[in-house]
Amino acid sequence: MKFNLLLQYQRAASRILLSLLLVLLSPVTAFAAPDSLLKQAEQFIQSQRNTEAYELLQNEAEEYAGEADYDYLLGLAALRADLPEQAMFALERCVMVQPGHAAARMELVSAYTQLGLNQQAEMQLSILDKQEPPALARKAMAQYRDVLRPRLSGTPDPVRLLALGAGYDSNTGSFPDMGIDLGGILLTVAPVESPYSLFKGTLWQPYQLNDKQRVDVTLHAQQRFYQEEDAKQFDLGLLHAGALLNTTLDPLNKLGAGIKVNRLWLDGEAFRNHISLSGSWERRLGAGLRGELSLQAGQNRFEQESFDYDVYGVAYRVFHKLSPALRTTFNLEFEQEGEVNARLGGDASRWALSGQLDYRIDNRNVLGMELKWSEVGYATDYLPGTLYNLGTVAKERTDRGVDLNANWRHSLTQAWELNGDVTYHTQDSSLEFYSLDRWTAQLSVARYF
Amino acid sequence: MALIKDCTQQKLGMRLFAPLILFLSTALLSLDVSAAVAGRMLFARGDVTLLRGEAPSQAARRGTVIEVGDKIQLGKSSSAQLRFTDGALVALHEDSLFSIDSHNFDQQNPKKSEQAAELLRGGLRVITGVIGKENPESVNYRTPVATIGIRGTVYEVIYVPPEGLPGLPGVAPGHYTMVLRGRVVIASKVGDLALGEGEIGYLADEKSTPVLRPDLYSLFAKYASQSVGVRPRNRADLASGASAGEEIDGLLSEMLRLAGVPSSGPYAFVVTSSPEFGRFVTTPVTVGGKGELLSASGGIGEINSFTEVAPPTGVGSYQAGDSTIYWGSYDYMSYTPTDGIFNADYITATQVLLTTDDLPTIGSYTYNYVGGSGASLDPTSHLTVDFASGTMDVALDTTFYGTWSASGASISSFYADGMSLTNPTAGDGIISGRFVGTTAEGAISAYALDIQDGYISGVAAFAR
Repeated sequence: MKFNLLLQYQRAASRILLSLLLVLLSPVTAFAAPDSLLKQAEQFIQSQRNTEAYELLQNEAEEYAGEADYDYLLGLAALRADLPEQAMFALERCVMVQPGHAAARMELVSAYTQLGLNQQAEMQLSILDKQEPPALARKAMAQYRDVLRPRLSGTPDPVRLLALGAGYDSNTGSFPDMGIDLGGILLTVAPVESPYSLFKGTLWQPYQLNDKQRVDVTLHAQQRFYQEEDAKQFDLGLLHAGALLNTTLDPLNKLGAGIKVNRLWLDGEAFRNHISLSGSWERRLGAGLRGELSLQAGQNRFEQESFDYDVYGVAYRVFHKLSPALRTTFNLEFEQEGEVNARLGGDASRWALSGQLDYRIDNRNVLGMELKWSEVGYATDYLPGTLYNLGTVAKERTDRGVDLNANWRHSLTQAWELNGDVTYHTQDSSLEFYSLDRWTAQLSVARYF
Repeated sequence: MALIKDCTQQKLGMRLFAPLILFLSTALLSLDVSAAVAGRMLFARGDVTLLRGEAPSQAARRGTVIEVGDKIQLGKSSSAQLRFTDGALVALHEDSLFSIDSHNFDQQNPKKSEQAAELLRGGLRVITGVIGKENPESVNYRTPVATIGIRGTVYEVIYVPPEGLPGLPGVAPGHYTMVLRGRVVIASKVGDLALGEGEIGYLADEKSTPVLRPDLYSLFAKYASQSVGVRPRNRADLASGASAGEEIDGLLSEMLRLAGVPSSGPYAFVVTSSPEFGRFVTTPVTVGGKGELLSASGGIGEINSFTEVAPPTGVGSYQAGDSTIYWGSYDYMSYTPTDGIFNADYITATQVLLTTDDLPTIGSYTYNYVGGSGASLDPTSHLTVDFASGTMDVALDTTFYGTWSASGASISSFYADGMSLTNPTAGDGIISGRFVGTTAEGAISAYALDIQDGYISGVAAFAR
């Protein structure tokens, strides 16, 4: 989020700063290098033809590298053309030759920040501080510092957001689409579809205990209101709280220990309480590659006690950063559910395998996709002659599900973000009652604080 | 006849073709020369020298052709950038020695091209070119202890030779790599390590296994800062001819302007990159909650602004009687108008005995080393003080360079410009400081020790 905001800012503010800083701060306002070359490059930049400007200037590097005005424009064009590493080389030359070139230092801050050279970026800002920058530049510098501060301290900034959204749910109660012949009377069970509205708030607050330990506290609340009368029984409320202690053992290994509690309401009535403890071990597997093994034990207690069960799980996740723009996550998990009050189906074993991909399309847009396969098998057969088992003999229940999710995040401004999310879930069960399809589509807007 | 005819034709042919052969030979020779061209200098600032075989060394400047086999040597406060024919860019930092071992770029067939270079000393940053993108296995950068395999990359390398680097005093010898984009594999004779973006690897020598060292980020920041005009000051840099100490005094005058909260003092201030010893200031200083230096007063000179660029590291404290001693290290302290960066150790204390008139007049004590920042002193370091005679003995023990000592020296010199220390093999040294606590339970000090080809410095606290 912050990084995207930074880049947005950089785009907008730098355009203004280009002219403003050149006039107000740069000690040289007239070009010493060939006017025609620099003016043409400047025109390219002003008309957003940044790659052309970069190529035009880059071809002349052996002639003019080391001339401050040339290097500044080359660096500027490279930054606009998403080549921060090339920009860094040019802008460093510029400030070496002309240490008072504030505009070049400002762009250098951007290049360093994009490349993760946070201390160098802060150093340039501290030099700019003393050059009495105009108000707009000061504001821009403050925003860079907002990005740099958590990176330099090693503690991420907290996340505080409120979101408002609307969506459509094709199957609010996860019903099958089936007809039951009750001796000539046809009873139909069908999905209830409905639009809905959504409100949610999240607080994620890290507390750095020492160099190696940090506690992350999460509070989350959300409420979904369905519009259709038949669907209102599934109006969903959730309150969630969690704390996770992260301990860095060494550059390769991290441990985590956490607790989560949450409470679920349906149509305003308490439905389920959950508490779980977890432990995790994360290990670096290679360049941009991490693996995490986690264990959890928890309880799910329902208002209707016959649903109660305990759960024990183990999961292994692999995080792979393929490039600055592309990250993938793979997850394999197993959960064993132990019935507590003779629930229908008894104990259950659940497997799930999922893959997730996050792709930063550009500085404002991030696309995420997830594919998940799951299977759950219940230990106790379902008795015949019930709604769940219409057959004449007892049947075991095995559900196999596939979930497909696509989501899109679009930064509107520094504080506002637009989110789109589409999810499709299909489940095939050995019992017809549990075979279903469901899809949801949702659009929400979030305000970050 | 036929033979004669053949010979005649052959002679005629020779006449006709001789110029052509000569031309072709010349062309081939020129091709051979151009094939050896690896790239050109884009930028050279300061003392940048091109070393080519037995030829006299020459100053490198923008446009200078770089050939295979050339070495580029940079002096202090110098920097350079060069571009290879495949578009790869290399920035070299001060005190570097870089060798181009091979470079063969075929634009029509980049996959058959190759490039090899060695960083013999110093630091560099690389953006790989066409060869690195098309055929990364053919790009071989190395240092005397490690090879670097790349995967479409921007990365930085520092190689500190066994004798050390002047620009990075106190930094352990070895190979350091930080990846900015892409992936890099560093390999020694016994192991390798793949590094992703933002990761840092270290290799002490060729018989070591590379290890991750995320804590070494500031090493790269520090070295890079020297190439962008924000570099430590030393006497040679001072156009005015002022001493580093005078500049420090100037810095302190601005600190007074920034002051405004309760203060303590005095404190010692050591510019670790300068041969100047630490200087004490007897006017108030302002310290933060961890005793870190926030501002100070007094002094003269041209410096008119002080900024803490990053929080101090290696902070510590010690309670000596009713005095609290604090120390730490600023990797970066920026000041204007010269846009310099200090790398400085500081030591502050409460209840300081400001002048020798405040000292006890009787008693003989040994003050043991209890902590400090900067050059690493052994715990056996100590002061032995006889207040009755106004003299003291000093022993600053170091693991690598032995002991710097003084015997029967005047406490007044400790309070004034500094007490001279000697080391039989390494060189001279100097230490100055103050006693702290109502009955002189502790002492704070700043020292600089000559190790012949450089110096080490720091601040130290002692308590009895």
